[in-house]
Amino acid sequence: MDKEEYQLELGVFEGPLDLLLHLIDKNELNIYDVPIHLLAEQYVAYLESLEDLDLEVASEFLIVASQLMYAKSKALLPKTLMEFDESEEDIEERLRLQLLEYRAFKKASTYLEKLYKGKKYYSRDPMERQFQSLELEPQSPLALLEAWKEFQRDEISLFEAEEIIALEPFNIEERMSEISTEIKNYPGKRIRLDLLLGGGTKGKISWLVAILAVLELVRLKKIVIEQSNAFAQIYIARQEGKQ
Amino acid sequence: MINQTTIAALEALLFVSGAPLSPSRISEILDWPLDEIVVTIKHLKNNLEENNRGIRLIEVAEGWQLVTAEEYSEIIERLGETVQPKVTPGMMESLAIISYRQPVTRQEIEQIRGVNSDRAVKALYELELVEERGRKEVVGRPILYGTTSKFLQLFGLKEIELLPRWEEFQEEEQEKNEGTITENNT
Repeated sequence: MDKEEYQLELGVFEGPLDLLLHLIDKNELNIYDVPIHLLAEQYVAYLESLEDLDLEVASEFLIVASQLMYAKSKALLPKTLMEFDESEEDIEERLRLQLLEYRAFKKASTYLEKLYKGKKYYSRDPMERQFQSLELEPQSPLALLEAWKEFQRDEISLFEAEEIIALEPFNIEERMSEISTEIKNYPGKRIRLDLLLGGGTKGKISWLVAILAVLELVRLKKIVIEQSNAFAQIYIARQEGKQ
Repeated sequence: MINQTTIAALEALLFVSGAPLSPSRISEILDWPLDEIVVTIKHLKNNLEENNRGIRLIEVAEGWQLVTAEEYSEIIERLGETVQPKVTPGMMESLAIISYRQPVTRQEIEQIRGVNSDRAVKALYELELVEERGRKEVVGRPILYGTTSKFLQLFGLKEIELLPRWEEFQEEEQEKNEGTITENNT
């Protein structure tokens, strides 16, 4: 290999098979004939020539390197002395078949590349999106005013929410004891979760605190959560056997 | 009845659609019989060609699409950088495998390429060149991939069957092999 070749990086190849094909082509070999083990040295020399071996990329190359070295060592040993496992015996043959298949796909890929790059015409993007927005019903200017008012209201309520948070610090422990008492007072010692949470009227933070309190009570095995089936009402009940 | 008005209606429809429309879809939208649509398409196609228009009607991705005439591509490119999504060699290899082996799993692609193809397949999926085709009923139920209509469009193919036969990519190798055998025999 000349020096320039050594300066290539693994990223130049699409994988170990690509590198092998490159070596086969460079040596003008025919995949059908070439004893794969002869390529082992060149292949490993190539890997060693790389200054920084990015292990993540290299692992795939190293697997093939080990297969090649195995094939090579096998070829060096007298056949009569060594009994090889039948399945191990055809590593070389498998690699050859894989190379042939890969080479055919590489040709197909080159063909696709030509189609893609060779396309000399242009088309427009669909206009469908514009039509979707045109499907809106005509609205009176009053609707716009309403929408504006609503927006303003939302903005104000946001500020209010912040003030409430500041004024009323939430306490999970407090909420836990509240929930315990509430359940005790309920008939059947069972309460629907949404009623317990106050139907969202108390704001998101209080909701979150209540949920956390419920979960904590479950963890402490003071209450259980019951639901007959998916999307059905959720009930909180006192853990049986506890006071 | 095919007249200038029906041809013009078809032209307007194809212009707005941008993407290829199949004759059956056009027939549905215009509410004309399919055979009339087919004739109208031919008329429009011929009109554009005979009048040397900058716009042509081509058959692609199992439909018909208005595109610019090929001879003006260089002029169009002067308009600015043309945006052809970047397809890396790894993506192209994976795409070739998916084109010929579909539906195929990522694991099968990796087996052929001998290299991890997670990123390549994901990128093809994001470009909508490939799509999910259900799952393979083996351990782990891996996703099966196939090519899309957009793939046909971007590669200028009328239909997937018009790709060269798979054997054409192998022939050369087989010839070489036969050659070797005869050499050995002599």
